[in-house]
Amino acid sequence: MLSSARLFDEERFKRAVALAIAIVTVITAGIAFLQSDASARDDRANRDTKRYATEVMGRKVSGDARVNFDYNAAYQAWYELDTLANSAELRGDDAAALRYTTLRDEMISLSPLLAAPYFDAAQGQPDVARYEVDVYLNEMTALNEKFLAASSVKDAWDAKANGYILHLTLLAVALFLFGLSITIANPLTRWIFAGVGLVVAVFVTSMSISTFLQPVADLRDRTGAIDAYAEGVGLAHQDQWDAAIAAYTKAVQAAPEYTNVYVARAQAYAQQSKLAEAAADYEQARAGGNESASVAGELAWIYYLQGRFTDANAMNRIALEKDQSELWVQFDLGLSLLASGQLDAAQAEYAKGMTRAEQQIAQALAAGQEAPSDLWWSLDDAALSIEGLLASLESADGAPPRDKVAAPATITPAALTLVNQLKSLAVALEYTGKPPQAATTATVSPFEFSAAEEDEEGNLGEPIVAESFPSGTKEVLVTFDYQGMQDGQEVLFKVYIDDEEDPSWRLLQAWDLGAEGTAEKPLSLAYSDAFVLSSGQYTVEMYVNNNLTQRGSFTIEEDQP
Amino acid sequence: MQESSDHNDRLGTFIAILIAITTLIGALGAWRSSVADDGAGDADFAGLRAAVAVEETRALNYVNAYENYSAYTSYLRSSRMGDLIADDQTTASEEQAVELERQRAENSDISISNQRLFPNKFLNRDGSYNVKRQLGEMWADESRKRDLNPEPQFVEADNLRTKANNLLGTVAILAVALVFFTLVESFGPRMQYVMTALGSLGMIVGTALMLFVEYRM
Repeated sequence: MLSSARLFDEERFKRAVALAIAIVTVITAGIAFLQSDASARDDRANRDTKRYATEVMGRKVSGDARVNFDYNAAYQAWYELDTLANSAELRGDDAAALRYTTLRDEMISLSPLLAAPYFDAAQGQPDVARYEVDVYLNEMTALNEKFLAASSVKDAWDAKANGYILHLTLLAVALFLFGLSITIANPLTRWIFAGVGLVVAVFVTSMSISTFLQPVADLRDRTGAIDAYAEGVGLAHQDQWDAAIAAYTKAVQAAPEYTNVYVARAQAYAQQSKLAEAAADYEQARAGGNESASVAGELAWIYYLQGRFTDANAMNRIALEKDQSELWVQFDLGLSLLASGQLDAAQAEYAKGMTRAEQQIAQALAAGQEAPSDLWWSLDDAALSIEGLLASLESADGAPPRDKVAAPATITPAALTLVNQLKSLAVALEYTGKPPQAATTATVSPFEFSAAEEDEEGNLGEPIVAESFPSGTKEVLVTFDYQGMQDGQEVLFKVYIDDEEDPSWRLLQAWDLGAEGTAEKPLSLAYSDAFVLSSGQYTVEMYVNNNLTQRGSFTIEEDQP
Repeated sequence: MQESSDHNDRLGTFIAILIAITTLIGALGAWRSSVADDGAGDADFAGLRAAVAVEETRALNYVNAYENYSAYTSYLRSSRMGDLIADDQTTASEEQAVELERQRAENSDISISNQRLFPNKFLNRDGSYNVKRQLGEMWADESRKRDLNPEPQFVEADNLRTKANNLLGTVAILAVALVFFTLVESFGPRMQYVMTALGSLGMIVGTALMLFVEYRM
């Protein structure tokens, strides 16, 4: 009787296990199918990424080749002939002027860049940005975004496929445990094996269901999102910020999770000084998963401009945790600390940034390479940002707001010293690969700017000292007294027009005017018939042995219509 | 008793044959799925090779054609300037005419030197340069040497991938059939027939779908 009952129990146990094996086998078959499907989608997305990457490269090269011709050959020819025509006209050579004008006008047929809507001959400047957008930039941006979208899809399906493989492996273990349980005579042991197998099977099945239910978002399926983003990028490229923001908003409406759009829209808002909107979009981008150092750094900059220095410090530190090599973030951290009155901490952060710049240059030189251009930009921008802070202290509506900046009287001298250090370091690194070796003993008086005015007959009069000169000025003399100079010392002059260096004015020379005296440096286009100094604020900097020794500014006024 | 035992033996043999056949068909399906998947990979590769060829051709053609067009621009400028100076020579003073002749000759020399830097077969009758025709001709030449149309390969890859997946789906149906066949031994006489019927149904449906996928997709 007992034996019969045991037999019955064993028989029922085996039937139950057989049923479990059957169900798990069916589940395994289903998961194998899902794994195959996920793997196929992964392969397809992977192929798409390669295709888009190839297409982006091809379109960029061909687009660049096209635009380079249109600007550097066709427009350059038009521009040169126009200049020659003006020059001939000014010389009174009407026949030559007519020849150049005739030929100039014939050049227009060479390129669509020289026709409407890109070109107005009366203004003489083509709208290259608009042309680039139409020729290839929009298409390239869209392809690039599709590449990123496909990469994201590929990663998602790859994760799913790998997850299913894990599930299949665990189900194989469960099946093994079920099979083993049938062969074991001891009732307790076989129940343990079957029970563990059942737990594993149930757990894995629920994991598979969870994996299956996880959606894979594909931006390419969101109608219009990528196209609207590409349109926005094109409009931003043309500095049409309102239209760009409208396009970005359209993209966000089509795909609210599209973080690149928030970043781009934040940049557009920042260009319009809409700081609250810019901060909100950067924060949205970070909340959406874009935790890159550049986005954190840009958000920190907006906080700084808003006068939220504590937030700016924290966000700059988050950015630096992500990527310490971003010099501009390092200097921005110094700046926000400076504005918040933490002088020692600010100077320490600037020193850290300058040391990193030195290290980057040393590493590049040791590897026989050149440093990236953003290193020079970071040093220039750091000095410019400090000057911006000083300017905002003198302005009622500057950014950051004057009332938010701590202890302006203490900050100002420290800020000026930092500007000097940054500029000297940039020049020394550029020309020697090392920081400035020693402070110069030379002293140079503040620059005096003068220009001679023409009388009605075109004769030049005596130079007049001023800080502002009329439009049409061809030459400005920079005059200064100097002491403690040595012949053979390296002297560099740099000229900035509206805070941007014009490299054509850069002059590096060995000093040969003796230890002391008065010197003149002309900024001159007097040798040209056609050109005059363009309007804007000019800043002249003089470096002796790579140390910023003197700087001064003058203005060339706008042309009066 | 003896009759029941014979019946079970016959059913067991029949089920064993069905299991063997189903397993064999399933293995065939898995093989065809693997072949289709491999074909999808090959088609993708061919498509990507064509896509690279397309972009390489486009980039090289644009670079070369616009270099030629640039040389043509220099040629046009010097050539036309020479013509304009020649026109002015007729009305110029003797002294000016000598200077203009020097300028005309210089421009003519420059135009001749530039003329050798672009294929003049792309000049239109009015003397303008047909860069569009040059690009079209370069593309046509390259497309005779290389596949410049990746799209059909990508479509084929997608189709083959779908086919591989569908074949795997039919194998899953056959796996379910096998489960029913295996369960026959675990049930009483009445359920044994039900299991056999369900297993047979799964085998037939799975096989039919497999044949459909194999020959229609």
